[in-house]
Amino acid sequence: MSSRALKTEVPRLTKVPLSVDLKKNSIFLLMVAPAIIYFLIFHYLPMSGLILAFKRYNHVDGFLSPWVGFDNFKFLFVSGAIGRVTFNTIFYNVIFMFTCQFITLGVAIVLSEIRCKGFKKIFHSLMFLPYFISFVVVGAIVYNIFNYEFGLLNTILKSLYKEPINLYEMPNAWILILTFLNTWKWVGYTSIIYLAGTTNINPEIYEAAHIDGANIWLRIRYIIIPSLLPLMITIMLFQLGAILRGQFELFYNVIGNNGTLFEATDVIDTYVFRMLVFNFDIGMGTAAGLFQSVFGLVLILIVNYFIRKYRKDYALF
Amino acid sequence: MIRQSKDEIAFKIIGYVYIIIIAMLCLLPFILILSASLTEESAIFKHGYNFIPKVFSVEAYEILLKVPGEIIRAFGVTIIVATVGTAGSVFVSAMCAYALSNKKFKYRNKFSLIIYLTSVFSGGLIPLYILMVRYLHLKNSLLALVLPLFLSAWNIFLLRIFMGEIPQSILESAKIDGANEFTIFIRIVIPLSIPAMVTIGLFQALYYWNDWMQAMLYINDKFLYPIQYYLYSMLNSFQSINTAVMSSGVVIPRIPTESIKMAITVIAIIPTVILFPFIQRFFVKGLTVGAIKG
Amino acid sequence: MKKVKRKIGLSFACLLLLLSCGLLFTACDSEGKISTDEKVELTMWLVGDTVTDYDMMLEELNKLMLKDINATLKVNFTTWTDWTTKLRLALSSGEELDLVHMAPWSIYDEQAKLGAFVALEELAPKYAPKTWASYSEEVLNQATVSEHVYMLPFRYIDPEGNGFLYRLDLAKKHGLGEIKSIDDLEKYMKVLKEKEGIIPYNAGGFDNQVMSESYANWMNSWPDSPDENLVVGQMNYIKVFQNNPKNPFVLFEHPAFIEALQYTRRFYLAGYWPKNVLANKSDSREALLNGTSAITNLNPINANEEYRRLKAKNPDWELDWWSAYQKLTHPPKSPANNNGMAIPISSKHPERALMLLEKLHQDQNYHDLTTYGIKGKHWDLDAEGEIILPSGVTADTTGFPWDRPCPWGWREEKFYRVGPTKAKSTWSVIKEWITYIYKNGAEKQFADFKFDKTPVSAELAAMDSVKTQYLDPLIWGMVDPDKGYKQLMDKMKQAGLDKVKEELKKQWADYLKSKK
Repeated sequence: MSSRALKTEVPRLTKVPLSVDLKKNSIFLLMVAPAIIYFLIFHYLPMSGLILAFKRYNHVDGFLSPWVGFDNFKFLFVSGAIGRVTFNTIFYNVIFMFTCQFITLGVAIVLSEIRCKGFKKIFHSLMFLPYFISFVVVGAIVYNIFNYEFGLLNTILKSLYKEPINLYEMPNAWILILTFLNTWKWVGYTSIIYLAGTTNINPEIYEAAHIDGANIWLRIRYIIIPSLLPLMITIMLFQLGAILRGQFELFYNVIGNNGTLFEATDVIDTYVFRMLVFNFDIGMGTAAGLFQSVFGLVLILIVNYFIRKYRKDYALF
Repeated sequence: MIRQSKDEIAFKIIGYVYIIIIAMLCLLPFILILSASLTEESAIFKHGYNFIPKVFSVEAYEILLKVPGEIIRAFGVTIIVATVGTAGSVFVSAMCAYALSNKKFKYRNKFSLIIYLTSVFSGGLIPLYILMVRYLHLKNSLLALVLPLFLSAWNIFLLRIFMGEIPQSILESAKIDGANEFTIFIRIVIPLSIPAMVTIGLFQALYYWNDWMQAMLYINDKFLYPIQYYLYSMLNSFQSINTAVMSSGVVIPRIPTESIKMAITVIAIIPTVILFPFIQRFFVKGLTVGAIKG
Repeated sequence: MKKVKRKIGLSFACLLLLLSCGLLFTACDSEGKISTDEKVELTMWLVGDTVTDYDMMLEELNKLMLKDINATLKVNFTTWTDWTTKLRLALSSGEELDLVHMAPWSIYDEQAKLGAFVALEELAPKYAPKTWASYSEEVLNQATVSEHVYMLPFRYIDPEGNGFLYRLDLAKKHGLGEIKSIDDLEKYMKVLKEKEGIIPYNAGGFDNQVMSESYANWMNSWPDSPDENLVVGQMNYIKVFQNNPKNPFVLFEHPAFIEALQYTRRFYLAGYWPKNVLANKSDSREALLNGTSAITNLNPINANEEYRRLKAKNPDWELDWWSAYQKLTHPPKSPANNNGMAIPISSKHPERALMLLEKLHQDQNYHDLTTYGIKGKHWDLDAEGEIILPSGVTADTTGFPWDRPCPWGWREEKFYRVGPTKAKSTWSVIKEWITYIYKNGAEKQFADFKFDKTPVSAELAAMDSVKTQYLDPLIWGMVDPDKGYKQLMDKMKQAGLDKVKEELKKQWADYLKSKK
């Protein structure tokens, strides 16, 4: 403690502190080296492609194609839909984040309390199934359930002598459906993270609380949740960083080309995809990705800053 | 005591019902898929998806498994890629995560930021493709299936959280005993992080298992197709056969693509579903405590 | 001494001169043959899937190639999975590539504009002379982008124009005749819905792509003139009639388009196609085969193919095919460069690649090998010289389905054995139609007009977004035509429709001037 204080109080002008630092941290540096090298090669090197967002690319000039400033970003804003689409993207991400975490937490807590191993194994495995079902198939199933003429839903309604519903003309109903599908897909996967987190809880404290008279609800509230808090925050921060990136697969396959639903369900990824699929343009595609990345970065920097103030080790960096 | 058991019972009932409902919602669509994969193609058109096949048929599986050698080989490729990739990935990620979690590491926040930014920014497909194909010459190689997915910021950060929860006292006592950081990592941190590492290992293995994109981009040789891409490309070629321009006199029978789509999902799921219960043994409470006591 | 040295030097120089002259002559003899001293391996990318025996065929082909042009060939197939992505990556990454299949329906126009290909007008007359000479001015125009010819087109006419393939037996069952107009179609669908209880046109999937043309050309107000597409995005936005070249028009501003909306609205409300057609992933072609639709929408070649499939499964069905293009005196022919081959700029041997193309176009052996496989193993000729499967080989078991592994890029009418007009088993309806097109069809006149998207790329992208959101539901009749049309126009204007129109007018005027 005191030596650290000494260092900050007495600024040195020679190189010595750095080499001392490096030596002290040398093992750590060696331990992060493989990962850093990997990221430099496979992530940072290709990131140089981001400059194409500001160029008009052609094969002859390649990376030396002419600069066009922010022209490649125009297409996002020209039709005026960008506001709604951005709002939808953020809206869905926030809803997905909260619903999924909430439901998954419940699953993890319940599973961690259950004694019966067999039940745990079987039912937890079942919850993992949706992870493997691609959204292409999900889209087909959804259509099978909700289509007007032969869908399961309308067949049931007809047998109850009710009027069939045309769900594909009710944009707001899909907010529920999409949220459900998103949680459904990820509940098995995410609950594993939380389950792993519960293994860190000290059973002695747990038992002590039990004996002291705390009922299950109090134990959950004061022991389990706080110990899972770092995990929850990390997960949340990652999802915020990707806030403008939607789950393309989900939206593209379930909503598809149903223009009538777009007001409520169009997100940036599907919006850009539709515009560029027949207008292939490296510059515009990169520009759209850059737009999403920068937005997410700014948001993360702000949120991370506040979390740091609250508790330093919960922050990402 | 009575008050506690009433709460316990209430909790248990709500808990069980909660889990069962969710699990059923997850199971039912899979049953639909399984049933559709065993249904005759025109029955799917006439009657949609049902829980029990209206007209039973194993046609889809027959077609997919017509050349069993190919599918086995594709499984083989995926297994190799997944095992090697996961083992390497977990080790390198854990090592890096430990360094990032240790408060003694002066540069940990800077490196955390560097790693985190890779999950926010991406240069796009084309620069990565050029790198892999032109400069690293990785076209048509197994490495092309392993390397692009090898590490992710997400995995490293998750591990970092778990390792951060290891009490400092344990690490300090090892230091006093004369161990250096790397030895601490191997002898103490890894055993204490088994649930976390198994979790990451599972995620990484699944990531490799489900991936077809790398094969689509870099693999031309049919013998190196991993299972997902193999199935996916079969489906696409069937769909194209169905709409192909044909030449005179030759009528090629239609391939039942709807039921094949479903059969593909089933084939890809089954191995993992079988292995999954074995992994759950690692999620046991109180792994850390033993270490403190010892 | 100096004299001797000089003599030696002189004779040495003369010797060198003689030697180099000799080399020059071996390189180009009096006929202008090109040097093939160096053995070269060419790489080619084709679209779609390969076939089981392709490598076997390639071995034979390479034997011929070594003899004729001292080169061998390696072939990669994109498969149909994300094939456009793969082509784009192959062209962008600069990996060495000598030949690639190209077409307007592939990524030719877009990539040619970006400078992906070698200009051929200098090289082709030298290295592929006969093939180059066989192209007329109009054909070369169609393959021209930014004033260069970047591909060698195939030499074949594809018929253009989708039409309805429908169950004629069901029509006759209820006292109706053949469909020849949209009112006939409406009557047919009405009776099918009420009496047969099926969805007459069970559309989905690819039907939506075809629908973007809407039923405008079925209307009587649609002129009797073939049209050409000038500005294309997710749909053909701006067209021009060949009989009225001074006035390009926006498709959805044409009165026939607006008229057609009334019909489609009626069809939707009556349930002639699924209410959720935009969400339906299975298309009408599948549905027809499986008995859940009575109509599908196909081009003539596919209709011919589907006819044979349907009849094989249901011999008692009667089928007919009718297209709005049949109202035209001169139906359009597809672009002359609808398939062709281009040479990417990364190629190190463009001359040799051209020589290979020359062989493929002019030598029947090359053409037969690459299109049908090995003679005797994958195909044979009967007594009348028609192509047949060898005995013991069936469509299921053959290792080389004809015409499948993308040999379309070098198809030559004179060598093609399985064209629908030639083949005996072609459906009479289609044969009649295609023969009519061959006789009376109109060539593309303006295919060499390549609209430069760059000034309005943002607006076109925005219009594509509007198209999916507001036009698709409108043309399927899902919204009230008047309200929906007004909304469409508002959104299109907001997206920059007027700017696109202005830009087109400008470029079109320049183009027409240059044509004179």
